[in-house]
Amino acid sequence: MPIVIPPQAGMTGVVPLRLRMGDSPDSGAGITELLLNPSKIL
Amino acid sequence: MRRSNPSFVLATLTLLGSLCSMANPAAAQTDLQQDYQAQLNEYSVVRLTADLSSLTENERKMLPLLIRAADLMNEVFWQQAYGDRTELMNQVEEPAGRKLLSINYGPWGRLKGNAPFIDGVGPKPEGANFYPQDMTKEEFEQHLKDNPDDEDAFKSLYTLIRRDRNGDLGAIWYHDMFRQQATAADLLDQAAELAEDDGLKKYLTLRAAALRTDDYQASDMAWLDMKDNTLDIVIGPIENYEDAMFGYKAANEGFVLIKDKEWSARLSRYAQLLPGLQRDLPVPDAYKQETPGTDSDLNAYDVIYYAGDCNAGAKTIAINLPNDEVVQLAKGTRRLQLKNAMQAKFDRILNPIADLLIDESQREHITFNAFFGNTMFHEVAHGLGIKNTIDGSGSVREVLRNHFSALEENKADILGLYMVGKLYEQGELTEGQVMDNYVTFMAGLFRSVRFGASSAHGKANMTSFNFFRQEGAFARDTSGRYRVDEEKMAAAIAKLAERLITLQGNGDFGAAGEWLDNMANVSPGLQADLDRINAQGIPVDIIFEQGLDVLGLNSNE
Repeated sequence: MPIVIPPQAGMTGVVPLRLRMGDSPDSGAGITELLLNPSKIL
Repeated sequence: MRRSNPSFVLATLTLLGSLCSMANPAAAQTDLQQDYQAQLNEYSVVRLTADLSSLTENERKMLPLLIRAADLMNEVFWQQAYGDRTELMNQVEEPAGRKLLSINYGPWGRLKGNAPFIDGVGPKPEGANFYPQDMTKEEFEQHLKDNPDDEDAFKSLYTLIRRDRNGDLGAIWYHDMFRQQATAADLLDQAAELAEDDGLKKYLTLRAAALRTDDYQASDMAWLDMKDNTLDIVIGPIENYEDAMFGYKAANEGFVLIKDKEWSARLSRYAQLLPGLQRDLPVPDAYKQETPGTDSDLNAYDVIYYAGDCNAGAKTIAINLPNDEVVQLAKGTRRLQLKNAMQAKFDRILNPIADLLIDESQREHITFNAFFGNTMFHEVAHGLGIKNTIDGSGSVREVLRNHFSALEENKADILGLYMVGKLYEQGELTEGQVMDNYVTFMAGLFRSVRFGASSAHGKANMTSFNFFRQEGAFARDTSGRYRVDEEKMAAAIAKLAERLITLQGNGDFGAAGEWLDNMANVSPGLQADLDRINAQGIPVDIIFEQGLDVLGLNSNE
């Protein structure tokens, strides 16, 4: 069930702000890899 | 050995300065302005232009739409990095201070180890504004222990973590939080209608959908399928460097690009040469058994607009995307060389550094082609070498853990130079000479290390510098100018390549740590040279004047 979160100072969130668990498009897998492998050069 | 933390030292100095100035408000104001100006002077202003003459009428009509879409990423990134931009801007009257806030997307100096430059602002939160300011790592982790079903959403690249009205942690999708993503999506849809290239049309349409749902995978696939387009846009939440707490959260950015087809054609054949180069690596056979892929896509672009994460602090000159490993496995990656931005850094920063530090007789070897080539071959060389340890204990990345990145970046630099030498020998490279790459690389070390000696790239630079010195690959005369010895440099490159690939292939965590402890340090002599560069007022990086006016395009077009 969506959880309503109040907008926080500094954020221009759309109201209502919903928390939608379980339908994440990205599980976060491989994040450690991303941290360890810089994909840009300055 | 414990080393002093530069951010802490800076913060302490700022505090002492503030205390001293309290007795005299006018003096404090002057100090503040001087400090702002000194930080601004670290950037050179560059007009971001490109040749638009080859664009079709529709492509010219698409540009304003793409630039407006990218520009919206500025607003999103401000909120991810800091919070309320307007409120912060209203607290600062001095134009120089306001300019600094814009460059840094917040009150912390990105070229100064994130030291705050506005009175009353504390240290930058590790998790920027992706998480509640009062949240600790422990609280986040405890929440997931207590609520395992939340893990996907909490660790997603595309959610913010906030507290609900009871103070409990919750996740919010970017597309729910940032209405700018939906507006950008509408603009991409409009651009898609004008697109004449089918691949670009499909990508823009899928990217628009992605910005509305935060599911980027299909659009990433379409981006890699697109081959013949002239215009391109990299847009959305992409890199995760801004989240220094966990690295879970991606920061929004936008690049609007025009592909340089002539340069891209020159680059396209290098990936094909990788298998042969792998066989020639200066290591025993056991360390070169893997076959590098040849399907990587390497292109040159002129950037006409930077926004958000990529426009904050030091600017990006080369990228390797997408980051989604599912897409990487399915289709490889695309390496983008941002030619006009590189040219600007070459002209404004590398050349002046070379004037100061490179022996007069070798100044002719400082060339843009070599700078471009070294950056490009660095990217290509990530594909060479060894990815799994020779004893079968796992991937080099897993086994070497926090030491992996510095070794890998160093390997890419060194095998890149090694490749250049081989390609000259094979007659594949005919313009210029290998000394151009060597001398330009030396000058480049001084440029790059100014972004921080403790990053992976910084450690890689220091290792190269110290190893080359040990091997006599360069000499520094009494006037502080460097001279490269071509023969010894070639030998040092081969020896360092062998050392790095062996360290990776052996997967010995302790040996890798010991190597970096010994090699990845800024020596007092080098620090003195870096101080000379700063004393000359040579900029550290660039900022852009950019947009439709700069491009000579009417904003109503």
